[in-house]
Amino acid sequence: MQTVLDFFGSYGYLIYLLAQNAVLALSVYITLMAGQLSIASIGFMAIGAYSSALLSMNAGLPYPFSLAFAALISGSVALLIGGPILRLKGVYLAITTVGFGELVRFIALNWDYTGGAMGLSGIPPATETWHVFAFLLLLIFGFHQLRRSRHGRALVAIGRDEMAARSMGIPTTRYKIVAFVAGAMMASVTGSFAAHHTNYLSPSEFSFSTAVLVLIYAVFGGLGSHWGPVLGAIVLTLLPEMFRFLDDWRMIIYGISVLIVVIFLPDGLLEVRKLFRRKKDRAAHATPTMEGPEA
Amino acid sequence: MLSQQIINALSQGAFYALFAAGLTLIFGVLDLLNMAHGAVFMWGAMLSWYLMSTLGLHFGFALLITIVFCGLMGLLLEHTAFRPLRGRSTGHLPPLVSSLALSIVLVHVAEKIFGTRVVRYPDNAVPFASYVEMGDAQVSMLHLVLMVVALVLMGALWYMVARTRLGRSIRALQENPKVARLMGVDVDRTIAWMFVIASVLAGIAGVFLGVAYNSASPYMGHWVDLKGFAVIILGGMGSIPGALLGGLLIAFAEIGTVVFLSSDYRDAAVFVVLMGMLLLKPSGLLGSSREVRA
Repeated sequence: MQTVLDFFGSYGYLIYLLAQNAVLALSVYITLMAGQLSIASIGFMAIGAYSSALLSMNAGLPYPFSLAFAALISGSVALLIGGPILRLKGVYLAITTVGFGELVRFIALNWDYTGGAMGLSGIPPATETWHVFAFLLLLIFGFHQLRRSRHGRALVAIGRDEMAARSMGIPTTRYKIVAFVAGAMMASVTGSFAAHHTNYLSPSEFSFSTAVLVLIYAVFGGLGSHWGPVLGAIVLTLLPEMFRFLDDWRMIIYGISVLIVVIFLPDGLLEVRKLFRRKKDRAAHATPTMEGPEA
Repeated sequence: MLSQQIINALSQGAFYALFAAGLTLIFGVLDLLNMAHGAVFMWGAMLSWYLMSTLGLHFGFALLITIVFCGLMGLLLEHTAFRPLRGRSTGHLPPLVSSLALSIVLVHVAEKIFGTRVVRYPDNAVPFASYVEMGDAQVSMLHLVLMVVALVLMGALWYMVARTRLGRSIRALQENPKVARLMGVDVDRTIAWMFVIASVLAGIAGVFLGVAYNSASPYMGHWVDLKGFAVIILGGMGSIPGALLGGLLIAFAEIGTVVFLSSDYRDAAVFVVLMGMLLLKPSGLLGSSREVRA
């Protein structure tokens, strides 16, 4: 028991980060499911973090309420900007969402109410690590259900070919906006969790480099299912820790690992599983056949 | 005072344009966002600093070596982050992530070699370190040189695309890669050359910005990347005159905010202009009106 406690004592924050980054990766994944390349998660995480912190510090709102209220604020912002910005596609959307994140960070940095560059301190502690894991499990369950549902299939259809989806009668704009709002609210909740976990916030936590890391998690793990982003976030959060002995080489290894996966595993790390399955299949059907359609 | 600011804005704008020219060339033709452009820019600044300070080389030699090095870096970039992904039907995301990954590697290798601190160029190595009186403004000769270099290089790039054989291949590629290949254009080689050219421009921008502001660090690529994206969207992706116009517009928006509001709002100005442009006319000022909306 003592060793378990020791382990948690020294790696507690890392374990917390695993769940947090997995949720963030899922928040990017839901918009990617609908084919929308949005890097706005960190911006919404910042809105969630600051709203929840300020609501509990200045309005005395109890933790669950400040968290829910912050998610509502993020959702409303997403709804408001989703309409105009989701008309853009591909790289244009990506750059706009980067701009949005920078704008949020800029406001946090320059507004007295949010503590400016000094940030906010003295946020009442409330988040336990299991809260984030519970939220992650809830989301995984949600994605599992979504995938088999009409709505999930509609999202994937939009992701594959938006025009075709629209001509099949899928209200593409509505789905895209809903996915964007859902992603925003997920990110917002991780932000609120973080605010009440570290009890301190500063604008520098929500930078452009953090925003793109979240996107890397999702792509690294694979976009075939919701397990990809979760796996990607976990592996890439652990990687720098595992290579701690390599000291300042570890970020170089990190970058090279991502590069290798993107080049050699087009469907992400999840594809490793498929490789095993294919081998088994081949062993089962020993008779030589033509190349399968999946290649 | 105002004329001073205008000159500052002009030289800053010329610099943005020079940096963004390579980005816009690659995006306009290949529809790819090169996230490692800022890292190459940073290498230009850091390597030239290293050559001038530690090895004590003359500015001209340092510039020359940096140009060759950044060209090779462009080749490396194309071969590792972009070529393996070519021909996949998976869209924008994989090359964006692979170039991001490579930029992480480049930044941390630079950290290892050059250290993590902000460095200053040795005083005696910096050329054109004089000031010129222009009316009531005192203008740094270096900033003027930066402006002239940027304009000349952008002109050369425009000439290359419009008039040379390589430029014709590039334009054919932009029109239709498949047909270009059928017509005998060596697609791989043309693309490799584009990355070499873009990276050389980024490297030169790095050298001159580093020298002009007398500071460089392994992290200087990030903010320039963001500005570069803003410039190419404002000017219209793929348009070289557009990059110049976009660069100037952003520089003037920045300096205008500093003069009339407060220097705190400088960075916000860029994104407000950018968002406004995206919502009103996403194809940019001089962009071809191809499909950018869903």
